[in-house]
Amino acid sequence: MTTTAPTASTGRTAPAASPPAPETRRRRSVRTAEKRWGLLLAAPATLHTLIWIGAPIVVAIVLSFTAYDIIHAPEFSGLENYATIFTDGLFWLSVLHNVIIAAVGIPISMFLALVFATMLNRALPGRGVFRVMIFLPHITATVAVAMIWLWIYSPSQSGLMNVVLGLVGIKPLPFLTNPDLALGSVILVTIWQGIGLKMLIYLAALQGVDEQMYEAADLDGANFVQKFFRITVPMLKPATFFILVTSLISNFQTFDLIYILTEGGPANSTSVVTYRIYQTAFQEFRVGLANAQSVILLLILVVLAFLSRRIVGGTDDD
Amino acid sequence: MSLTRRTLLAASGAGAVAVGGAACGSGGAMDPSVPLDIDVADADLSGSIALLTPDFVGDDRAVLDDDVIAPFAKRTGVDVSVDQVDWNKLNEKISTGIAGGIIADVIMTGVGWTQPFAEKGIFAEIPADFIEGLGYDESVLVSTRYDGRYYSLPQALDLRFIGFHPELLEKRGIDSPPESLDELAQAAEELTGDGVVGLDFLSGSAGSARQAFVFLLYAFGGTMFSDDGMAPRLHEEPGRLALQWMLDCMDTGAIDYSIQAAEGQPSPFQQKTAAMSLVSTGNWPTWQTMTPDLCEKGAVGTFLLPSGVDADPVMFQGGTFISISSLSKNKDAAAAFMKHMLDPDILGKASAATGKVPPTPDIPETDGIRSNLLMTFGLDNLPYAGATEGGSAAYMEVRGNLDGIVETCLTGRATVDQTLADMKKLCDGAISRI
Repeated sequence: MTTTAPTASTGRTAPAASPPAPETRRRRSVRTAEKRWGLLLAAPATLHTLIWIGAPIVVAIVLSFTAYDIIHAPEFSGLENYATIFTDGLFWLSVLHNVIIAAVGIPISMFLALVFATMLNRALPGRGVFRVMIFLPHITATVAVAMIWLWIYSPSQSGLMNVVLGLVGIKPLPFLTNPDLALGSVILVTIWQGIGLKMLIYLAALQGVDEQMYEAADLDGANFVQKFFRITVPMLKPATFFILVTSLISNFQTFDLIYILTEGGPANSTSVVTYRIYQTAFQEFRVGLANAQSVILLLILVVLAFLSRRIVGGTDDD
Repeated sequence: MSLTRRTLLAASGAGAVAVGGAACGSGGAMDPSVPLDIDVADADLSGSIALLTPDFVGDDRAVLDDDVIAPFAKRTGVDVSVDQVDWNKLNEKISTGIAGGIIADVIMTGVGWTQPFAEKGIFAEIPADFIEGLGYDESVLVSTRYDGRYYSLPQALDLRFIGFHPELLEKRGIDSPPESLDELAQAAEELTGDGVVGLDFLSGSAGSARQAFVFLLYAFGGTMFSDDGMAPRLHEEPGRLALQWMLDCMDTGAIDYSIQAAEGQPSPFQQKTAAMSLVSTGNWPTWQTMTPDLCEKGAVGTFLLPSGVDADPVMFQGGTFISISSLSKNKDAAAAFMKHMLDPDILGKASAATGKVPPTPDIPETDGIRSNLLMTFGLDNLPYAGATEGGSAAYMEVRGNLDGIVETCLTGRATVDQTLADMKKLCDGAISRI
């Protein structure tokens, strides 16, 4: 038997609460157990995020409002560090270099990665070898990559690049020591190193493109270029968005390559944001300012991620 | 217990504060007030110390381990561990060491480093009576003081001057070294051509663009900072003349910014594609290994950088200075090791390995030292070694960025006026934070 009580709004009677049926109780119990398991499984990642990402971000924000030289305790300095950044030409020059590297390097490497992925998605002889060769630079330590390119760019005639140029009668070029050539030389390395991972992601995405679409296009008489731009490229949009965002972020995190290849020189022509932050903190002992620069970098990355989402037109499913 | 957003934020905030506290805590652990006792008996020493050094690289490391450290460890029972780092990473190594609470007991740094680290309380004061008893020339002690007190001692000097290939000068009819900077520029221009550059001033074989500028700054009668280190001077007229001199030489091709020695390859001077070059005494071991013909008597000529203002010529003084960390938990052993490093016999062994000049001529003469023509020349001209970097507690903040500013001018990306203004702004900013 069930009892009823009047509702406030209508004055009608509503069914009174009754003990849940055994089936409902079981379902709730299962759901609670699932929640517990979910929380337990998510705990390591959550803890990792809180301790190693969340806490440093909070610390960086706090320190960005202080004058701190590592030796002495931090002193609150208000917005002074942020005011300094806006008049620090070298910091903004470093931001500009990151933007140039991104604007030139990312589109080229994405295009090449897509071309390689499309080619190597076909049943070509030796495609496994080619895939490994293109992917290899990505899994090679950046320090090793930089050392190899130091030799390739060596200003003497023993450098590989200058040997090749010498074969066609061009005098040795100072790739990394001429301010007009250095940034371009660095961009070439980032392209070379970045193609592998992008190609891998495109390859995975290409596996998901329905073959029937190509067959239908074939029936309609579409040629290779039409199929590429009308089917392949649109179908790869989520992958393209993912690659673009991750490339932008990793571009603004470039440090080790610059540290070994050029140390930001010559004439600051290859200085990038992370290197400038490192210089500020560990060469100039201005840790508070370096933290403010890091906060600005974080904001730049958030804005870039947002903008690239808008430009590429990512969806909630991306 | 449910995890609400507020709880989550509170927990992350508390974590952040804890991490921040730990990060900032390293500063509070230092105790620079413990004085240095330089006369503790060997029998009273124990434990271990760490040495941070940018020198004794490659084969020289064996000399450090076997000829320098081993006798000390045997005599005192103190264990010495060595942390080696490149010169261009030394500053970061010290700062990250401090941040991490792990800093070496004995630290070897360069000219210009003493005042900044002393001002920050990282170096322990060294008793003046000990230093004055060593009888070192005043020219090598200038860079060891901050605020009238001593915080370091020179262990080896890296002196720089001009080297030349006599046969290349003779070929052009130049029979005596230039006596002024104008004459030097003229000679460099005459020597340029047929695949040879007249003067290699910037290739890095004897320093950086910053050091080349500082060398010329002193040659034109300037200094980097005022006597008290609280005002920049490098942007004044001698600085303008120094930059302009380099630019003029680059206009005629007598100095080529783009010639560079590849890593591990002989320098343009060693390859005889540069008729004259800045050379440093530390180049000698490299010459012996790579181009031994340059080490024969008469193969290379040397002269001091002439003055640009009708004064004495100058020699650039770089080098390795030795200091004790104020954070050291074993200061007695660290001080004893510093004394050991400055023993004339040990200085001689170290000098033979690194090619650098001992800060005193009172070392046992060996064949290696006697045949080192660059060292002999440097020692003979020690009173002229007045061109030095630093002179302000703000110098370490300035040092790295100054390279970029000078390079920006030399590559035509900034005018001389802009460059001088940038230098002043950089120095003023750093000094204001002392």
